[in-house]
Amino acid sequence: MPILETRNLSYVYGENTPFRVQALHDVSISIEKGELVGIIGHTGSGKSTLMQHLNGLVKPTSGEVLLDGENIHASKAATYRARFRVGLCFQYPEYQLFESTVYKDIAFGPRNMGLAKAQIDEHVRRAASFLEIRDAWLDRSPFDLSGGEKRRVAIAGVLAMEPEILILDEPTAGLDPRGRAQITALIENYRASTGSTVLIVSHSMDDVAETASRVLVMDNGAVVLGGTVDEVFRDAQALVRHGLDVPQLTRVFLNLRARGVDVPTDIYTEDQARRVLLRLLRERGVTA
Amino acid sequence: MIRDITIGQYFPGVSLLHRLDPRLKLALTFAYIVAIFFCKNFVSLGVCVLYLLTAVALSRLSLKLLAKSLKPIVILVLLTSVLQIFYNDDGAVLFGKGWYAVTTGGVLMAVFTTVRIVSLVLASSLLTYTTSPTLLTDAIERLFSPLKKLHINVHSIAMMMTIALRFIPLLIDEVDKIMSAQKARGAQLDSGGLLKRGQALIPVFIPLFVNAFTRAYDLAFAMECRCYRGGEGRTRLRVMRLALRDWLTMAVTVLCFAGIGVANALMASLI
Amino acid sequence: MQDVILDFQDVSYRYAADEGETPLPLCVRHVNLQIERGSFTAILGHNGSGKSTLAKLSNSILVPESGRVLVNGMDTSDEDLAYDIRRTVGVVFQNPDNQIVASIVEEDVAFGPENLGVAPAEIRKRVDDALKAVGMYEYRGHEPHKLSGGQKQRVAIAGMIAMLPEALVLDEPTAMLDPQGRKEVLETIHRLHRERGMTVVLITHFMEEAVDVDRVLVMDDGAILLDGTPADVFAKADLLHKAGLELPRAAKLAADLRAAGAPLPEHLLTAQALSDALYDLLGEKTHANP
Repeated sequence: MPILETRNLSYVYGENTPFRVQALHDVSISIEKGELVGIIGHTGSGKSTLMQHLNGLVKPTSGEVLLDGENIHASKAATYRARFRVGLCFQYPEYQLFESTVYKDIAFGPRNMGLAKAQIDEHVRRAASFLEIRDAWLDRSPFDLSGGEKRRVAIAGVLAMEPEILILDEPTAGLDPRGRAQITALIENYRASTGSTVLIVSHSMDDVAETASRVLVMDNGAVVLGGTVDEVFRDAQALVRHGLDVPQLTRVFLNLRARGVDVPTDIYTEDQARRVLLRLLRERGVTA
Repeated sequence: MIRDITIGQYFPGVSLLHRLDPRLKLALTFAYIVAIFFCKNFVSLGVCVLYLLTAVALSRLSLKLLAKSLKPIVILVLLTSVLQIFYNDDGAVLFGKGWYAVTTGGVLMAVFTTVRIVSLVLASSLLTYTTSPTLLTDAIERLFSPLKKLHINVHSIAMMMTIALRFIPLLIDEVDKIMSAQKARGAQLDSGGLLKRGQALIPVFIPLFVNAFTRAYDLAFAMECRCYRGGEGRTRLRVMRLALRDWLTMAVTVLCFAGIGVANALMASLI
Repeated sequence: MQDVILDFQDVSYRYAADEGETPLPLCVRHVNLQIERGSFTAILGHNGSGKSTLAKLSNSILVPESGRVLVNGMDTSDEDLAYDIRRTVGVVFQNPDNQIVASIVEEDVAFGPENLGVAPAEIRKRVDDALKAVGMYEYRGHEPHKLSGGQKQRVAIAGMIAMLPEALVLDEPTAMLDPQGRKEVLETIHRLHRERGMTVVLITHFMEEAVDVDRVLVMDDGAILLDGTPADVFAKADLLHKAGLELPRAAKLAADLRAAGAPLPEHLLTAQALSDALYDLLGEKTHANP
């Protein structure tokens, strides 16, 4: 059974006004335990709205969200529980830090869960260690940290609820290459060592191509493409049609194919690209 | 949702009222409010109401919209009316007796006050509904610029209003985002008693203020980069010049207000 | 002699520490840098490398602790020249929301010229021209908060253009934008450079934005680590890595293939350049034995 599932999810806001917008159209997705799924779409494609349905922050106009087979809107208590079971980390989460110390800020979620003090402490320290937050920081004010450090503290604040599913909206937005690489590695490491399910929402394929096992592409409030990363990349033109950029490496192969060179076009990692090209160069006798 | 709050409540249009010089509209609204208080009887009040109804017609705004603007004052109107009805015991008793006697004088007073309050609110709604906040701010700056002589920095006040208008929608969005983010960490923002609710808002307000200060800091830099140095020596993109329609409106208004004076005097001499 | 518009002479700067705290370290160290009029320069560096401080030093928002910055020969430490300097070098910042002052697009663009005391008819002309230059003329009556990030950033650029600056310094103007917005803003900057001969200094941490410029500078720890053409700079992958930067993926792939013995030319920085070079190696062979 999938750990998280949506059935015919639709969401309309501004019903009965001239500003009526259907933000989601009949979205049915299913996420298996332990997967790392990328949800990709351009700004306004509905991916952020979908994300806020998955932890019950927004109630669908029709359709349902099932967590372990149970409708999260079955009761008020179930909806509230869903917040902790599905950890949702918004874009630029460092703008939500508010406590006087890093420790207290990370503890906010666990405290709301009603955990005992000792348990809260365990949660906080575990989350801090996953995000490589040094003990020395825990007593400092989160506002004294650098941008990248604040980002890690904020993500730790969501992780500390120890959710079964972690959803991150553009976790690397605005960071420099070093910061981006670090966050990506930390999240992957967290998933691998805990076996949690992770969803990464992004507007760029490049962000998830290397790590995601599966990708869902959204456009105009609907899931328009889905499958393994390979499957989705096979049809690069479809990505363009849905307002997404083709990753740089894939573009190299698409250009070659367009000029008549017989190369695969579902290449997106550096490793694949290097292997395929070196083999080709050898076959053609260009290199030894 | 919090986003539903509209600020400034401007409804774009091309009616005569929309096109009047904002400085004039602002001045007229003030004058009108003063005039309302000078009305001493139903005849002069009638002149005021007629003036307002003409303005309403010229604004081409839907009556429903204007009626909506009265919603917040319904309770105030009811309360004052009830008070007028019971406290005033002039005229013939209609029904009841003793302290709860309802007299004609009371009813008339209640009607009079109601009309006054409603006119007041409608007049200011007409101003904000037909004038964009930016124009209004601009008008305030220009109209009150003589106050500079009293060492009141009108330009700074207008600049603050401009920046507030620009940033209020942004901050409203931000409140929305922060609330969602804290709710995602289990914050319960909409339940519990007043104290609990107040405490629950700390996780919303602290980030909001911190971010607002960052924005203010950035904005100050950006304004300096654009050579801002206060109102001194500043020119404006928009040139405000009174048109024929403005002069005509002014003339009509003066006549109306004269009418109020005449009606007041006339009625007084009749009694 | 070159025609230098922006001249950093042995410039150092540190931010003030809180009262009673130990002084902070220098965040810009002895930088010597001359920007030629009409050139397009990219300054790369990770967060905290001091690159953003350079932007604020370039138009006298900050004044060097030692050394001096000259804009068209005007010393930025001379307070009397501050406004002449700021209308010569326009600075655009990262967050478009925090640099737009008015709640109508054209009124915001007019803000700079208004401050300079330009006559209303001339302001009108400049505003229209600036909005056309960034492709936002049709949005002149819109409210900024209803625009996309890329559109807002273009309005912010127009706000500078309306002051008729000779140079634009842009401090990570695309960092907060989505791919679409990033594309819009970069195209706008390149167009201003191409069509109006605008001197551009683009500060960024996106390496892809530095492949089609005249000159690339890499900042690390407050000092200039590398300075040269994109090809020169991108050839030094190790130093870049040390400075917290990574080659664009196509450039990295090209370098890897060369290292593995593929006879590719040097300096392949973009996907287009790499696929063209690969075609030269593979394509003809394909046609030779179909």
